[in-house]
Amino acid sequence: MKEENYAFLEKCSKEYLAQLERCNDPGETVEKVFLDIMDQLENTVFYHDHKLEGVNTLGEFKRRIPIRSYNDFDCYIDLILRGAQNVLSKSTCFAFYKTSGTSGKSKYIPSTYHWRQEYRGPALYAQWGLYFKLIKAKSLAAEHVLDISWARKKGEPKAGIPIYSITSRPSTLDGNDWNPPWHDSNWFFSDKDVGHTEALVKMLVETAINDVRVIVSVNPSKIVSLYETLNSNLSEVTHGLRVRQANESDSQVLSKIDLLLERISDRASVTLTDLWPNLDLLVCWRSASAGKYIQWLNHAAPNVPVVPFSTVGTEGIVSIPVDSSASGGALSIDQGLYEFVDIDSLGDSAASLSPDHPTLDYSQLEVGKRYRLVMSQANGIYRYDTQDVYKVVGWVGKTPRIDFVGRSNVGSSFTGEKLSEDNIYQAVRKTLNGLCEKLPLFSCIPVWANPPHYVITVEAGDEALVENHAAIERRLQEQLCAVNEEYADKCSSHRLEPLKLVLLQPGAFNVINKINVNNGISSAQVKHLWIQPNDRLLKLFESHGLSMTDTAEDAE
Amino acid sequence: MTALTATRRAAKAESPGSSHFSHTLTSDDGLKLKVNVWASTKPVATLLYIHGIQSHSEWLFETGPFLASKGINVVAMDRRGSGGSEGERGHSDNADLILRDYRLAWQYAAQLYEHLPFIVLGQSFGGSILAALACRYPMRADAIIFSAPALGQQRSRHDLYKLNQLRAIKGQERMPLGIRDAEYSSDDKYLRFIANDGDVNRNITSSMASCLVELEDIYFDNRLCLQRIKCPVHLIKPLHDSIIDMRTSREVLARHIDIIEHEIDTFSHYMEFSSKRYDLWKSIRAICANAEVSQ
Repeated sequence: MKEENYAFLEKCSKEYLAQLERCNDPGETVEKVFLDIMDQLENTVFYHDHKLEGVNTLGEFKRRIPIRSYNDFDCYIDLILRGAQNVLSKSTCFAFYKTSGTSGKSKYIPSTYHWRQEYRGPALYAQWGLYFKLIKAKSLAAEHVLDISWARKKGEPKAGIPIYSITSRPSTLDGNDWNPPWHDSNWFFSDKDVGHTEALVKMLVETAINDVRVIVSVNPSKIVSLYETLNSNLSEVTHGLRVRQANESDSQVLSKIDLLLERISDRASVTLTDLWPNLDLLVCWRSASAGKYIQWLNHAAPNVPVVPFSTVGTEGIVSIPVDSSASGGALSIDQGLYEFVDIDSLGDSAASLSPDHPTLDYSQLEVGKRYRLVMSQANGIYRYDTQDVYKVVGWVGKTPRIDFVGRSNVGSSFTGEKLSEDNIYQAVRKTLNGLCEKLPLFSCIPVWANPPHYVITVEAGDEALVENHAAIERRLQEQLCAVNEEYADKCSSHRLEPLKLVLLQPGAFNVINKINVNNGISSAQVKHLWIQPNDRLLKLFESHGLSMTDTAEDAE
Repeated sequence: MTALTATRRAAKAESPGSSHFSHTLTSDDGLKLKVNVWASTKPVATLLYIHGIQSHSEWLFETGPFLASKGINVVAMDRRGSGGSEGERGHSDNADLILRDYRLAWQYAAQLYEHLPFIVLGQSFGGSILAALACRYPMRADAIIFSAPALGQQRSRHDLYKLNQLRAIKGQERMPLGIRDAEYSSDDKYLRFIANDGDVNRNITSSMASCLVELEDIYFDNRLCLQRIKCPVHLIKPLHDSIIDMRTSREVLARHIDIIEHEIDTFSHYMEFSSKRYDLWKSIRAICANAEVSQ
């Protein structure tokens, strides 16, 4: 475990510096990406369908290919599933990435050799180059990293082509694909893991005596879950360490286990920095709803800075962090062709863009404005209306620094109140501030009735919540009215019923996450939503006896 | 069901006259080593297949059933740290451990069908293991096949300084193997298989890199031992091999022993995943079927 990986560090550093350089001169990169995408497209079914022969400028490319929703790619995905080659790109499609389906039906995004080796791999090296720079790593051992941003899992095949989530893959590819020194470490989540908690406990036991300096996750909830698992399974972790102790002959390892057990035994709670005193950095998304986890992260690893993971969707990477800025990575100009639509210019921001909707390029963006992203990548997804909204927060050289704001079609709106995740978060935070030691986990659930209403479900780890149920419910309603005038208006006109507060058993969200994982949802895809798309979660809480309030009427 | 198991099941369905089972051997230092056996219902010979640096025995998901259906029992053990065998991935402390593991596999395969001709095949890096085994532990074989073998490759790639450096640096620092999948196959079906193979070895440790040289040292320092091989020795090679310097491999063998050469009309190093795989299988089958039990 003490082996040093200079060549790997050098590669990360090189890609990171190249990324910075590209930010200063993005024009040349855009041209290079365009030519490569055209090369990948050449003589494909898509190429002929869109009469792309002779297209040699980005303008022509945009004129020939209409802006598309995922449904417009369905026929091409079906062709690949039927065994056809050269459908969307000439590089072999070896798997599909399946989206988590935060909105609409599941989508299959092709993954090709070319895309992984020439785009995704280098982007990951560049991103990690920043993290190693921030922890001032001059040498690196696999034990310095706890990488929970992906799992080594095989996917279930459809028509012979494996399908997995973007955060799962069985192995690295050859060439420039991401191949870190910890690729073969036994703490990785893998197909051999039987359950989410068991896998985390195994990971904690395997890595507890490592000198972990950076923890990297895509979603902050994973780090919070690691911390919560550590504390709710402390006896299992210490037992695992004692088993290791009994089977170990290396005196250095034995002394490390001794020291660790001394440090964490008989403690009521253990932070991640208690476990890994040299932990210098946490990496995870910080934008949009993910940002609401920051205070939990501060609890899990006090005073450890948090820098963002790249803004990455199943369809591709959109921004890459280039410095320690809390949020807002640089547009990943080398990863695809990006077009933008000013969100304020759209009448209905949730509606699909028209096929010929005018778009802006990166150089035309303005700081402070929000834009919807249309993206083309060399994996075969061209001029795709992602429905993701980004805010420009500055510039890195000549490249915009952007922050993910959210999806244009996610939130909740029964009667036009357009409740956002941020509205809910603000209302709960303002209501519970000072009442609880730390903000409990919560989620807002829309309940359709006549009139409809919202249920705020809150984990009642704190006695004060139970004692002040009615007062908190009233206060929540006032706060939500204060942060969203439309909501207040709809309530006063009785188009909406006032919200209801449902208290949950502590750990209730974790229980549901485990149930979802056991039902086959990838653990990496289990996301905490501050607003649920429907009332399914409420019914789950009820049926599993996790609700402390009678919700039978609500769930009708 | 994974892509791998799906493909394997399909391969088995196409291969009546054979069955598949796996067995576990225990190495001298206690590791569990997985052995895959494709057994013929009417066997005429047994083939021990020693796989390459990046692959493992499951890569024989078509080769095994096909040969078994043609009367050739195929036995393939996953090298320590590869496929279903235990051990740190892509690692061995030294070459001797690898050879001792394969001596076990050799003994196991040879006694499995004792009365039948017994043939040993080394593919790519497996060829280097086979040459070292033949020098270190002379054992019964009725024919030996070197298939696109990586013989003397370290010497042809590195100067003396680098070779000594590789011999000296032991440890678990990982280094990418750097072999492009396209060099194994140009067929989408096999590329998809490799890309989704969680057991493929993409990296080796510095100790394993040292083993590559150590194995060569064994058959270079004891090259006269190769002359003790009394059974026919076959060399099967592709028309052109982008991974292996086949001229060097050939020279290593031809300098000391008479070899029977076969050329397969393909540019793929891993001929099992090429469009000419049937030609390869026919060659292997013919060698096995014509081998005679040595007295």
